Amino acid sequence: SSGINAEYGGAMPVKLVYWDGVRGLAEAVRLFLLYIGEPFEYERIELSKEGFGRWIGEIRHTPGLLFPNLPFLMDGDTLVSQSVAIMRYLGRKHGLVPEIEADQMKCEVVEQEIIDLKVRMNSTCYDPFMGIPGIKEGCDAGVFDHEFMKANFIKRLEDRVPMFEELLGAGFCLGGHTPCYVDFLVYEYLDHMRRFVPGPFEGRANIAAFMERVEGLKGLKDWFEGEEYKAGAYINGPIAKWHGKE
Amino acid sequence: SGAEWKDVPISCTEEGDQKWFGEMKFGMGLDFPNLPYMIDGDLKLTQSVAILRYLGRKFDMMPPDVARGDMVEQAIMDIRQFLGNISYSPQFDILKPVYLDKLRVHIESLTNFMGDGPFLFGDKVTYIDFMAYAFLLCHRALSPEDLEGPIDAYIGRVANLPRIKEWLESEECTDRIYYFHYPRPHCTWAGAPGPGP
Repeated sequence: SSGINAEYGGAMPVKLVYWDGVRGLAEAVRLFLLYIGEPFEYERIELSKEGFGRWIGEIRHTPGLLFPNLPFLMDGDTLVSQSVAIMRYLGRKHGLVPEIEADQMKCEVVEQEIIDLKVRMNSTCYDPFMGIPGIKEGCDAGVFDHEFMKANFIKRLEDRVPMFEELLGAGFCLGGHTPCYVDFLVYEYLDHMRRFVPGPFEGRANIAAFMERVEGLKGLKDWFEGEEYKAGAYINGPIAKWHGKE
Repeated sequence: SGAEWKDVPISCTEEGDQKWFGEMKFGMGLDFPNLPYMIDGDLKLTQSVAILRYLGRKFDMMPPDVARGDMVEQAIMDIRQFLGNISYSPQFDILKPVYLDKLRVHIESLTNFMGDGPFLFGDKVTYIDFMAYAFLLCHRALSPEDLEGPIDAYIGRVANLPRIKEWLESEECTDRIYYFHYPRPHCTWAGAPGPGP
């Protein structure tokens, strides 16, 4: 990277805001911030009645947060929500974005493909009927068949994982020796998926090598060897049918 | 943009399925085979967002504020994906109120963001306006009363862009049946068929 783009941000460290104890959609941003070496504050909202209350009553109304959602990033006067928008923003700020058009296109296809899979994993793991007034868990009307969804998700992975295996033979998503922002999205979400459904990832040497390569990156090595990472976190929220916390 | 283009529809039938899954999917030299795909000379691209962003860069239809553009793009995708998920659920009717709650917040955010417009980013039409337009038609088909007022006027402004208006009135557009989702048995809500989109 060629150093921070001076147009960006303010004097304070950036602030990332998300639910406490959950990797979810924010962890890729944390990993990217660690790799970049940008000082940051990670504000966690407790997964409790009080925490939900703070989100709904106060944090959601942060001035300048035009499309309130979590995670969001605060960088001086700039507020960015939507994890993909945050990743692209930080990528541009630090020059970790594709430079030529061909790479830009490839990057965006890969970005969308991994997001597609993450969205499917979310539908597979979260019961959409939870919290709907009048629907009792397990009743006929609101049955969420997680195992059925999981079987379909496995089929989808069997279709798409080979494409990632092929892509990552080149090292990082765009080839070359340095990652760009999309590599952190791919790392994080492939990790969610291989923990959830290991089968389609068996024997995928390129993917395994890529995952190790990311974990060994300067700025990330310490994180992955540290206590906090080793203690484990929820991959999905604790209410999910599969949340990934051992 | 005034670009020349040709559309290659694959029909939503068994025959169409066989054509895509049989010969086309793995036979077209796409790194991540998927629909829609676009071919521009030697260039082959999948993923609607990647395609739109490519065209946005090519035809100077990118948002002036990049971070805000990305945020609006993703927010638009978010709710559209949610609608897509519930539309394929047999319990679509139970899930619809959850979607409607999100839709109302979304419409409010979009309307506030746009202000007087005339488009999402003021005078400049961007690729995001076409995403918004296409998805708002879908939301409107499900819940017309939520798409009244300023957002309806916005839809009208996009539809009235000269080449868009021409397309919408063309025989090629009006002579076809368009659904919002894949109209097969596993889809509970595909969107009402009718002439044009």
